[in-house]
Amino acid sequence: MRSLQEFVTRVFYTHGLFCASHPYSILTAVICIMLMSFSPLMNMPLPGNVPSQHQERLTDYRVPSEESPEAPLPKDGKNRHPSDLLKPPWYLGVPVGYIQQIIVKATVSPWKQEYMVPDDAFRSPLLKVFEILEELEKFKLKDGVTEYSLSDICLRVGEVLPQIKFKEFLPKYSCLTLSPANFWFGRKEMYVGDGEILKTLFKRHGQPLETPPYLRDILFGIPWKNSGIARYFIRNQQRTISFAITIAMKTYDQRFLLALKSRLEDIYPETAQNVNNSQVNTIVHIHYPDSKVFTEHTYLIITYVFLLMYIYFSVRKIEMVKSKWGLALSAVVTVVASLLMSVSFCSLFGLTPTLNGGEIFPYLVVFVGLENVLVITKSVVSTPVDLDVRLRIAQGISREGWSITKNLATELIIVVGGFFTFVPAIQEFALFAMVGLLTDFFLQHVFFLTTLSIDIRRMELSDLDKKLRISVSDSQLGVSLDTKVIEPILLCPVRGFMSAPNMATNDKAVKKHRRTSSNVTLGPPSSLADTSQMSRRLRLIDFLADTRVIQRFIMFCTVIWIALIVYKSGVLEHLSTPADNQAKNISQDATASEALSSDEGRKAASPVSSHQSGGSWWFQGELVDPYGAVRHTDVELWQHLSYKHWPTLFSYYNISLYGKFISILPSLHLSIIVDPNEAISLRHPRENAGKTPQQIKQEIEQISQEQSSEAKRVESDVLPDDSIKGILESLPNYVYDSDHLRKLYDPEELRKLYPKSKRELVLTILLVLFSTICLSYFALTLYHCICPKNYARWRSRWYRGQHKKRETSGGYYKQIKESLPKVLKGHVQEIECVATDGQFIVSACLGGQLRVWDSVTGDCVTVVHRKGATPPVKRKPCLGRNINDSDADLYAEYHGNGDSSDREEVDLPRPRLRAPRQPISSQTPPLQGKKLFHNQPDLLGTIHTNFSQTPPSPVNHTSPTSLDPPSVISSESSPLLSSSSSSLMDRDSTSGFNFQSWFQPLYDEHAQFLRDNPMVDNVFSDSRSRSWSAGDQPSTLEHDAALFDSGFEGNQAPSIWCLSCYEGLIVAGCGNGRLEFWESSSGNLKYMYGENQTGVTSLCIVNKRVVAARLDGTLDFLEIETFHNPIIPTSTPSNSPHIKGHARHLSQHKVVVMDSLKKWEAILHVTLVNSVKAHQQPIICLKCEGGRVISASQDHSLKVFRLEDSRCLFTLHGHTTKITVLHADKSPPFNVVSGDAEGVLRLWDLHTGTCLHKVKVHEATVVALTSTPRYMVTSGLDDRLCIVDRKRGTLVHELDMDPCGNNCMSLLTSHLLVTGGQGHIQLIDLDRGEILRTVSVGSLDKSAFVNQIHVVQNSVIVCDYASEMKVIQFPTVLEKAE
Amino acid sequence: MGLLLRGTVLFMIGNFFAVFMNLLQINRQGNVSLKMPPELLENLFLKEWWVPPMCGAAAVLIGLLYPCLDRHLSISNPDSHKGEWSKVMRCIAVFVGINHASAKLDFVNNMQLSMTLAAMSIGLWWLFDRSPCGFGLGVGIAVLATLVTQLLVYNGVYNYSKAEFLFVRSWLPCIFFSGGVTMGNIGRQLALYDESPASPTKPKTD
Repeated sequence: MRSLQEFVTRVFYTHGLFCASHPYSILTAVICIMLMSFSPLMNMPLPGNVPSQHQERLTDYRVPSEESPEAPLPKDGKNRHPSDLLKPPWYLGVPVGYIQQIIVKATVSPWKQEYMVPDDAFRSPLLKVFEILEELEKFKLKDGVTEYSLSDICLRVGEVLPQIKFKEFLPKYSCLTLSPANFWFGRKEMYVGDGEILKTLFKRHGQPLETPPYLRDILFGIPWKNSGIARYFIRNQQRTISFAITIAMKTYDQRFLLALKSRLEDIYPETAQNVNNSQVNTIVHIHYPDSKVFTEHTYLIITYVFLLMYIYFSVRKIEMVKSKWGLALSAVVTVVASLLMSVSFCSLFGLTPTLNGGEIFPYLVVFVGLENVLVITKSVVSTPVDLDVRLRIAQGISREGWSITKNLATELIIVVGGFFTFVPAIQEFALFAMVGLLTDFFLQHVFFLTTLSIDIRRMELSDLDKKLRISVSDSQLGVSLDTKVIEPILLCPVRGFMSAPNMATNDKAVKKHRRTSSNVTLGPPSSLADTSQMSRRLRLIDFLADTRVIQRFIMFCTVIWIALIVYKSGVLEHLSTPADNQAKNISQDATASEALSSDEGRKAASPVSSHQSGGSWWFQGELVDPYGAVRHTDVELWQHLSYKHWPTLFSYYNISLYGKFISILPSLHLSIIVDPNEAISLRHPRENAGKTPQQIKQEIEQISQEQSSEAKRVESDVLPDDSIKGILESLPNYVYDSDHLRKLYDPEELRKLYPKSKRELVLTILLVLFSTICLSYFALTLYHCICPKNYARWRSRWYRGQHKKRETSGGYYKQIKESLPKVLKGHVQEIECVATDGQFIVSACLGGQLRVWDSVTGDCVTVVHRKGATPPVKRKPCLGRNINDSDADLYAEYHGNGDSSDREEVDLPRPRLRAPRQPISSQTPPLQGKKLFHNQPDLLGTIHTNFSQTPPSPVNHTSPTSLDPPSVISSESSPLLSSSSSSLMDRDSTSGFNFQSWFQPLYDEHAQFLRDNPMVDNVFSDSRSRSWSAGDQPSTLEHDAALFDSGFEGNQAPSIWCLSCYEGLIVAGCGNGRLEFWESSSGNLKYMYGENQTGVTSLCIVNKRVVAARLDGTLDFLEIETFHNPIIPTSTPSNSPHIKGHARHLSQHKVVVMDSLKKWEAILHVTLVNSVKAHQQPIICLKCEGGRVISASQDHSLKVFRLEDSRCLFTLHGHTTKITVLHADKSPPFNVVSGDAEGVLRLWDLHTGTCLHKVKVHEATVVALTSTPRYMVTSGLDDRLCIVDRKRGTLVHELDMDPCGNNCMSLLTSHLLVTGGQGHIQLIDLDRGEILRTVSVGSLDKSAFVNQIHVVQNSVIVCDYASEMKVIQFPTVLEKAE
Repeated sequence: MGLLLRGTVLFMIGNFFAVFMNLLQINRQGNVSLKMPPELLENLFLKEWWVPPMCGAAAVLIGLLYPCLDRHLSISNPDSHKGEWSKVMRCIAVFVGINHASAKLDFVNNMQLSMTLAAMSIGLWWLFDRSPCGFGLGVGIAVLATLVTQLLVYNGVYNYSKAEFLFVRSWLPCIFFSGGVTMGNIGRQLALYDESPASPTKPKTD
């Protein structure tokens, strides 16, 4: 049992995988199957007023009593006669009429093709109707003294309803006798005189839209296709014409009918050979149920109400899908179609439903049920969302496969139990239910499941942005953990579609590699994202191309086609049937076959044999064999009449059959063979084909002669008559010619190629259609390929089809590959700050040197040595992000024995954090124990300046400080601090700053520490000796431009902490609180502002306003005033026109440079407008966009100021830990994104001061952040890059990055992100969340990190790399056109 | 939803079924072409006016008893009746079908009829209930209700429309049984709304 269960599960798994892999093709196939299986339903009467039949033996027949039968109590079986029990309740009283049909089959035989015209085939046979009618009229039965005729017992009818258009053809005030003769009003001479019989027959009488039965159906009394009359005769040949004479009688007179039968059989002796008229001896009563009464409707209505409620409640449970209604519809379609299919199957196999379809239908639906559908849906939607759709479907269905199978088996057993009730109705119901269950099972698992897979795929696509995209590795993990992996039983031969999940993913991965560049190193996105990006058309093309489905299909079709041709050519028949033919020939005309002379004999024999074999519908009535042609094969032809036949007939006379019944007597069959002479002689003058009556007469003679000769030959095989011999000799050429012709165009030969049944015809037509379509398609395709005009386009489209990625993302990968970093060399120390204003790149290195570069050419425009440029080896803490690092480094340099692991645990006082790094360089500066550090961040600003005079450090500069783990210096018990504090004290004494009160307790504490650790004393003294900050000295010289130089006294410059650049003016914020304004073109110091001694952590310059954030949480709003230098007059008196005038003309940037630099030629004066104590804690980040200044601080809050009046507009609370990064939109809506140390991202609205989104994206600190109109991109210490949807606030993509160094990012375009890493930068597609390119920036030594990335003019990436700058240009990268 | 509301709903359903079944039985009697004659209406609604209320009362009883019993015996497995109106609807439809079959089909004899109906009833129970408690209760109801009917008939309060005494007795228990199961299902379903305080929707009352 266990293994069986597993097997079933596997089968279902395979099936699910298969269905979900080829949804569209399967769906198409299933719908085709469905439609095909519905075809038998066309012949079924509509449910409702199905006539019911009751058969009775003719011998037992007695006219049912008029009133309701007394004896049989409807529910008590005891008193009921068995035969009564079988009687239907409607079988009461007399029928409306007894219907007697005389069915006549007539043909002209033998058929002489040379002499006959097509019309001969039916004109004379049809004429026989008049003869028979005449006979009927004449016939009288003598019953003792009374003698009565047909007119005495027939049903007399009155007037035809006036609205009937063809009432003149119907009998009135007489017996209801209908025959084809009615077309000619029963008058033979009219018939004979009618030149166009077919036209008469096919004339339209009623409305333009007639529905069967037509008048001709009524009058012929047999199904029209059995009549043998076609509207257009194609060929001249023998036909069998059938028609019926329908007589309605009032009473049933057995004796009269018997007598009539024998009389007619006597007249037409051929009948005896062709039919046994006593074969059927039952009388059939057909009841036409009345329209339903109220009571009968009630329960139907109620059951339907319950059915609908059932369906409603069932489909209501379908959830978690894209289109609930679509799926509900498909569920209902599944059930209904399965029932219809079962009905049609039943009727196909001969079980005609006697139950009222409308009645049993709801029960069938209820029995078959929608449960499985719901179970499947539920199971599938409960599978892990992150899986591939195919796997989801497969898993879902395999999970439920066993229970579904079990249920099916149980239900089938119940149904089988229904057979043992021995109640016919229940048995029938059980049969239907059984077929229904099976078809429903089939449809569920093929139709519904496929629909579901499509639906789920759609949902996945639409929810892609909403849902968490779990990385590939996770999903793989999920597969292996969550469910046991089921191997599909067989793999799809068509494609690797059904390959195991792992294989599938690998496949995709490989593909991806091929399509993108070889440099993609990180995990490919899930295959889901991949499929989502392809258009359906491309997928189709891909599918076609991969599977060569068209080629294979065409090959397959061709094979079938050829097989059919071979089959049709009669080879098989020749091989298989010769013996058969022989036997038939012998049996049928035993005498003839012996006697026939070779030539004639073969001619006569071949038609017989061929006609025997083909009962072709296509050439109905062509049968040549006189006996076979008029043989009555179906003796109950009326059964095939339209079920509306009789009601229609009676309704002409305003007699309703509804609620009543008619009795149909066994019909009388006659066979008539007409002599060709007679046929020819009966020709209408128009049909003679221009022949004169004499010629016709001649022909007739010839025919008769031939006939007699044949007869004679048959009789006496020895010697033909001389006269006949003469005739034969007289016509040798003629016969020969015709023979020859016939051999060439022998219809018999040709006919072998014709399809023999409807099915074959349909197949042929389908094949023809299909091959036409294919051929034209290929012709078109070939044309497209070959036509030179279109070749290029086609080629490119084809190419694009193969490289979908290029299409969707604009095709810039090639160009990226070719770009080569430009190296800007010049700095001797590591670059710490980079700023750009679009045109120029300004960089500051640790040594305090400023350099200005042209971003386009890569030339170094200006070098600002800041007076005392430090010697190359000299280390200086530089501004920006790295103060603490550098401090730590320096500290470590001094002591040479720290250990790096300790430093990581220290609190972070600085805004920018760096990913923890593995020390790559072997020369990582050691650092002393952490116990020396403690959090006292406020002091740091004062510390750094102490190192400006540090002696050359032993550290090799190729191992940049950025490699160090983020280190924090705590003031308490730090030797560094003590050194700084002592320096501070010194400074205080010299420059008058008094920090004593702030730090005194610490100093005391520290002194205590030092006493406890005399070991470090040396260090302190050592450092103390060096800790004289030059930057502190010139404080007395501020406001005096002439004394600027003294600011850098002794070749020492304060370290630059932040840098900003605007229109050729460089503003540098220094660690000692000074702001320096440099002119970038000349390298002149324009102004120095040093009123505040607290270190500048961040700087913004907008127009003429400068905002500086300081370490103590103060915001300084400064205003730049310009005065023209009187020595160098400028053409423009004021600055504003300058600013306008210099809208960056990129083409002539040199000129612009000069222009823009000139702007600042005037004397600058900077005044403090306002100083706001914004935060208690250091300001980490400052942004100024859209007239708002946003500051982010370590005190967990953000503040928003107005630039103009420096008013605080909002304080944004929300972060629960210190904010580490901030990004402000450069365009409306000017939102702000901030990230904090816990990995939480917040999006703020500056207009209202509210938090729009809060997303926890990282497990660790957010170190870098940027945003596009659609996404927010963050990078964290947990080495992940997260792309968050900005509108919804949900994680869209996440990327696992290299384990360190993702601490800077910048946007190239709104879809492309550049991130820095160790030794390389990476290009990331935000929409797809994948790494497009990795560009190596370090040529040889790749140990350095890229810490600064700036993008200039959307195409140039500027990044620092140790002491170099790299400029990478992507000239061809354009915004993706979407 | 309180007990009262549930009772009301059940009462309505019971009434409805009584009328409906009556209609079916009339239909059975064969006057096919009758178009709801006035005397029929009179028969239905005036002469035996007390029949539907009685059925309603019985429905209330059964519908309340089932969930109650479930709770007390605590044999109900939680997933067997888990808030699925569709299942209840299916059950009702099958119940109607059984009635329909008993009313419309021709059976050779009583035995066949009663056996078929019994099989159908048990099938109904198996499909929609499957709890031994439900089965026991159903059987009990069937026995009790048949007895009551017989008593009523003996006392002349009520008589069968036709004098087919034996016949009626044979199909009555099955109908009562399946009716009991059906009403029990409905009752359980309604009781679910009581159990879960937040009723999702107002239940349908047909």
